[in-house]
Amino acid sequence: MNPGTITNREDFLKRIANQLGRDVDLTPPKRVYKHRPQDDVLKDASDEELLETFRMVATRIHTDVIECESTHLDETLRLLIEQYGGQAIIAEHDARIKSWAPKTSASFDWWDATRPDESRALAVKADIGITIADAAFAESATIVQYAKPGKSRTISLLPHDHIAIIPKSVLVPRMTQTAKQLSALDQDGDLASPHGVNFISGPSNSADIEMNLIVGVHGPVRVAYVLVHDL
Amino acid sequence: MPKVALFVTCLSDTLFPSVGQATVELLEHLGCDVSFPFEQTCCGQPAYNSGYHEETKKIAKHMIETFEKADADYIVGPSGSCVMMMRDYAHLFKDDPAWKTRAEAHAAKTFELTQFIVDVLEVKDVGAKFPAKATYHASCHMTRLLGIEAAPGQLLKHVDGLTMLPLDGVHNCCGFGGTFSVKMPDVSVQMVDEKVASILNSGADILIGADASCLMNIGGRLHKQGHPIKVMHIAEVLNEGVKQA
Amino acid sequence: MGIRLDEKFQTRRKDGIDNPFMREAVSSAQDRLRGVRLYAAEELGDWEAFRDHSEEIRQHVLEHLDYYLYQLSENISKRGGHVFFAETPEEANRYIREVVRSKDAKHIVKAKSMVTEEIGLNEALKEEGCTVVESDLGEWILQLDNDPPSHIIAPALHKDRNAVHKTFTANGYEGTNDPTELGRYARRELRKDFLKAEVGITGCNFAIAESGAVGLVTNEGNGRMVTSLPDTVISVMGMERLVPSYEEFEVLVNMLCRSAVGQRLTSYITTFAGTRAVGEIDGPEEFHLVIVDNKRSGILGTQFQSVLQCIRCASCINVCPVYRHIGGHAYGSIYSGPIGAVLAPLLDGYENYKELPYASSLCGACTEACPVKIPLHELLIEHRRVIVEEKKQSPFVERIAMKGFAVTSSSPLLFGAAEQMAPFATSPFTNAGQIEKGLPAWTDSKDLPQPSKQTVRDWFKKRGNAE
Repeated sequence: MNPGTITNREDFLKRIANQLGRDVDLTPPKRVYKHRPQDDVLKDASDEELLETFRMVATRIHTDVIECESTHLDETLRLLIEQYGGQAIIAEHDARIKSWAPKTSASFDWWDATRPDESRALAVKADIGITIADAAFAESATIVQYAKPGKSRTISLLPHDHIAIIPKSVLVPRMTQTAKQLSALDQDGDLASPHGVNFISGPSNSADIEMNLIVGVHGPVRVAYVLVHDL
Repeated sequence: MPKVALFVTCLSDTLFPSVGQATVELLEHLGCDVSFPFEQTCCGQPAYNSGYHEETKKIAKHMIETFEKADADYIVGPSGSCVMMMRDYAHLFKDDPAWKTRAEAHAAKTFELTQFIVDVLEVKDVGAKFPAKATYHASCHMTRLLGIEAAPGQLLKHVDGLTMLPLDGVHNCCGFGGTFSVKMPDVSVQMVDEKVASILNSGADILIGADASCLMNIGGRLHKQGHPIKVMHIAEVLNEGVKQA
Repeated sequence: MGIRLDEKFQTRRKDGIDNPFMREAVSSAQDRLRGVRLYAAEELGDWEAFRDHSEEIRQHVLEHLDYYLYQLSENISKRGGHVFFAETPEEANRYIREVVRSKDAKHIVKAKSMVTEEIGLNEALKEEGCTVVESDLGEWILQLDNDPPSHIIAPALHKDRNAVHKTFTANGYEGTNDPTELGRYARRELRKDFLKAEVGITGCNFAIAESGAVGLVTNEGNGRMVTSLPDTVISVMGMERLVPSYEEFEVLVNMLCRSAVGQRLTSYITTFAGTRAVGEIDGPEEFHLVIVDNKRSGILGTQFQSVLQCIRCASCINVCPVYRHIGGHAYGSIYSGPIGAVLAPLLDGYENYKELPYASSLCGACTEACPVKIPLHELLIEHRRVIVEEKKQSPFVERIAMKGFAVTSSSPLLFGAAEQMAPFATSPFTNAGQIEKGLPAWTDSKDLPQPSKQTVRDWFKKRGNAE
């Protein structure tokens, strides 16, 4: 990847240092914090309590939660697709779910990065997008999608409905744990964190008209989390 | 017997003398030896809040000296707002270590009346009797800046015969804000009107507060509009039935 | 900076006070947001520890701002993005226009951004001959109506569903005034713009220095559209809006969501780092980050530095009793409420905004609500001090009065004399112990008890003598 340009930096930083009453200092500062309350949230929660929190919060943010074992994943998805009434479906590949092939009468396509125009067009006209979560947070019923080669940032966004498959093993108490992992990827200057991360908590919404909640503005109107217990 | 120097505050000295009197009587009833340092003036908050900090320093120095001379264990005043100002003098003397030290010692001794009764004297039932239906206005400076949230309610709860009714929007400012009320009366009156509406809505016959300034503001609006709600300072309520004949 | 309405502050306040719909909308929004914010804070557990931690993070960043901006720009560059440091709005706009021109772009979609409002980017892009579409629902409504925002989070807070219905109908909408139906119309219309746009422009809630990423906090999904679909993406950030790493990002995002709208997390927290990776279809092929100073550096190292801790959550606005009654437009600045009253004079000078620091009863609700512990009401007093003691711009009469007050209040003799005088001086205006006129700013709306002829000190002295 070609590095980008950086313009006007020197004077800009000088002005800042000058205001702070010193010279520009580019040695990495020590980050010593007196407080760290984030580690205490849901600290002692058992797996079952985390699941319970996840389910409860998901309901509050207008999100369906369906739970199954991996052997029933195809069937669960088929029923969900029927229930949502989607005609065109697009889904992403994931190494963790190899055998997956939902049997459905709807038109079904895989996101394929080697065919960009076609994939984009399919995402635009799809009714349902299916993704596999890289992490999930109990506290806020959030799923995380890493932008990676071969993956899509938009099939969880453009279609009317979004189905997120969540392997139970990726559930953590809250964003704190994932933030720590992401930071660990970059802290030695490796810049190994994904080029994009989407933390998604339920359907798109807005309260811009009279503070009334409108569910489904630009992104998905309906979201379902399919929690797979043995993955 | 704790020695208490009364910090009377200008408003209660001149406009609401019954508040100052009730404060003295109540503290004496609770076993305090109350003195009145007569050289005390105003805490200086009107100048401070208006940005006249050089002027405020002169006032602060005078007040600190006056109360130092009083040689009391505590300085107690019936106003969260004025007490907050007295406790905040050290801010003015950032570059003057000698005065800063004196301001800090002054602050450490200074208490708002209800806070003093509950936290220092450790009394929650002062023995007052007052059969009435009332609601309580929580003053902003006292609640938010001094952090006194529980004390007034704890004291009022123990007043015999007194029924306390909840007040909608109790967290909203009454619109006084010192010079704010005369600098921007258009906005101030909207704020006090909302407060008046909540008070009328509460069903109370009496409005109790712990700051004469807010009570002057709300009471002034109630009176102007002819609402028959009586306005009382908490010192007066706690002194009801306590007053020795 | 942004909107500065032509009328005087007093007139703008009156316009607000005389607008019953706006006031109903604002007060009910405030009451609702207060409730959800307190619930969200309570639920989190040790809210005060979170505030302390957020404050120390923000203070640390400001103390080392040169380092973190350096690190951020290095890392964005390594991840294929271009970084432009702009001291002034003009520099920022010129650079963005050049990028747009180089792409031969005609259609631009924007996600909500206060800093682009601040620098007047939309006007600059119109001069470039581009169509610029605001894609946040509230911003889009205002754009169709050519109306400025009145709140930094809910820009169209001052409009009701009927006003929105009218605006949409003029734009070709044929449905009812049901908010969901109105929202669906916006979805259909704006979807076309997202797919057509050659360039997407966003603000930046927090950039992440260590990861070379920009983070956006949204609910509607427009931020994701704008950063995933167009081939070129430009993000504009105020120079202080960054954090060292994902770890601090997480803390502040949590505080922002809970403080702003009472949500644990908003529907979408999106980070993007430079250009898309090889093997990706979505995300920008070309990325530019424009870092804007616009007088912020002048605040660093001064007594106002803490205002740069702000994370733009609007919780101070949502609890402000003055904002409640006058609304956002009265401030004449894109930043309204307590944060606006502190920030506007710093970003755009006292000449235009010296009245704003007085638009506060100093009730402290803002300071109490602030998730990063900016002492807002103290900064308002500090502005007043600067106006009085440094700019020497306080009114003459006030200056004389305050000098007199100080002389009187530091002299027990004079103070005593003034107390003795008060009942006589006020007696002509008095009826049955109440002053009813004579001090128009007060007595037009409120009565005042007449000063007592016997002060407490008189009573105490007499009582002492009697004993």
